[in-house]
Amino acid sequence: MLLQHNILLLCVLVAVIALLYALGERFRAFRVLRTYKAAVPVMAYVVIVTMVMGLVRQESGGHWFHDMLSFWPFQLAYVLMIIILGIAVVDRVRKIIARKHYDWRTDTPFLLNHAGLFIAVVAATLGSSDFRQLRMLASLDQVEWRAYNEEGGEVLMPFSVELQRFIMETYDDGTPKRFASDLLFYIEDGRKIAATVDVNHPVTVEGYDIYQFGYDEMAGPNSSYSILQVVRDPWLPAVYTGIFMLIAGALWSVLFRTKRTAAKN
Amino acid sequence: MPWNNFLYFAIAALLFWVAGSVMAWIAPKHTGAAAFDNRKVALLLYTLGTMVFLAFIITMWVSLERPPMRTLGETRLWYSFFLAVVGLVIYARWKYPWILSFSTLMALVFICINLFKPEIHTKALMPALQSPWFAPHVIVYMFAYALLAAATLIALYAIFAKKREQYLPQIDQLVTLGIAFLTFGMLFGALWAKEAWGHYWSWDPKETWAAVTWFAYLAYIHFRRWKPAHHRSAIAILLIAFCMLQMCWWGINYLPSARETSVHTYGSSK
Repeated sequence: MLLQHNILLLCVLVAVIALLYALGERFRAFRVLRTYKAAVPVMAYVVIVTMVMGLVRQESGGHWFHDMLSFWPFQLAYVLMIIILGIAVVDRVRKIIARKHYDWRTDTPFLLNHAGLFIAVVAATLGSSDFRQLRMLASLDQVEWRAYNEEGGEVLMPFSVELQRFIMETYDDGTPKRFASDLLFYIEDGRKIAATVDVNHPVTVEGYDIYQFGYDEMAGPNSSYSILQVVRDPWLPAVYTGIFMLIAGALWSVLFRTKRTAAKN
Repeated sequence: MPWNNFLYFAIAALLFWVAGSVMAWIAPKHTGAAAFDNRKVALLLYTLGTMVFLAFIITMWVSLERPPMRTLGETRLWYSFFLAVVGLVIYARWKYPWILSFSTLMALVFICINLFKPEIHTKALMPALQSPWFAPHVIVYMFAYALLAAATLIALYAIFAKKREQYLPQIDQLVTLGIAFLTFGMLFGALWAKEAWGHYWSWDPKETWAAVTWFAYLAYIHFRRWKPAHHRSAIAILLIAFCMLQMCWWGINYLPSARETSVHTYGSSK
């Protein structure tokens, strides 16, 4: 159901971008959306709302400036940015087709940067309602099927987990150097998977990423349980596609800098 | 403790840097064999100073058994180092006689902060920071900060210069390169955050200010293409963007909205 809701939103977004672009063909006024004249003010707007978010302490469920993510002027800024980005990409593709020539030196970085940011932000935003972050308690000699969401609600998982061994190493001053869990997963179809989960080294089981999150801090190395963070993010591949396009675009500008600005000097 | 040797390494590096800076002033900007030789000597001396400084960072790395990048004090080391590197590159490329003096002065400021207000330098590296992403994430950011500081300095110089427009193409090149490295830093951070915390972006105060900085510099680059003749506005945007960068780097440590909520305050937590 949620996925359909997202796909619907994505279709609306694509339709809005296509419509605004098409209106630019008919009416001069709409052609402004393809230019810096629209892009720069939208960027300034994005900077301002994001700054407010950085200056005011954020609490989920807070009012107005205290929960910018659900405050409409903030959302509007990012929606406008996405629309302008989409229009810029469509416009560039149209121009490439019109001139019947793909200029590797300028078209590639433009498309990597703009389409990359578009894909990353759209996928991250639409994917946020499918993003699941749960907690699971893995205990010694005890098989657990349940996970808990942020509101404390119970969720039944397609696998169960049991803590085989809790691993803890400390520095000389007693601060933790490493904490990890040897885990045994029982999958619904009868398979068993053994895995060690370290901080910074999650494992993936049945589409869920399992992270070492916490332990019994009073007991330390003798902790009889391990708190796991369980994450499911079906839109991640799309977000990563955008991120890697952006990295490639940045790499491009480091390796092959256009001499255009230098030539003017 | 390697930190005790810092004074000697710093003095040695500074002597080379000052000598290189003086040579750069002696070498005239114009052509001619003598000027060319002086420039080469300046570059050589400055490179030696930078290598001495790098040698200290390496000894720190080896003796701490971890990359020296956790505390603000440790990132200041990298910042001094990259200021010198960026100064060298700009001098080799555009031959400003003053750029080496400036990067020396800036490096000196950061060295003095480290000498008189040293952060805590412990061996312990908490599990969350034990990742192959740690080193590239910080190094790339420090390099971006140094590039953008150099761009800001040229902009400040341009404000009082007679032919302001002649400096803008150079500022643009530095900012373009700076944005590329900001992008690497931010996205390496996102990929690391997914490995460490389960999500690539969680609007942590540091992430929020990194986004602000990134968009502010993007606004500069787009504004330059939109209105290439509006030099004063462009410089104003650049200076505002640099203030945001300072907020992102150290300002948020003093910001009430970020102080206890940011997961990026490793240095002060111990």
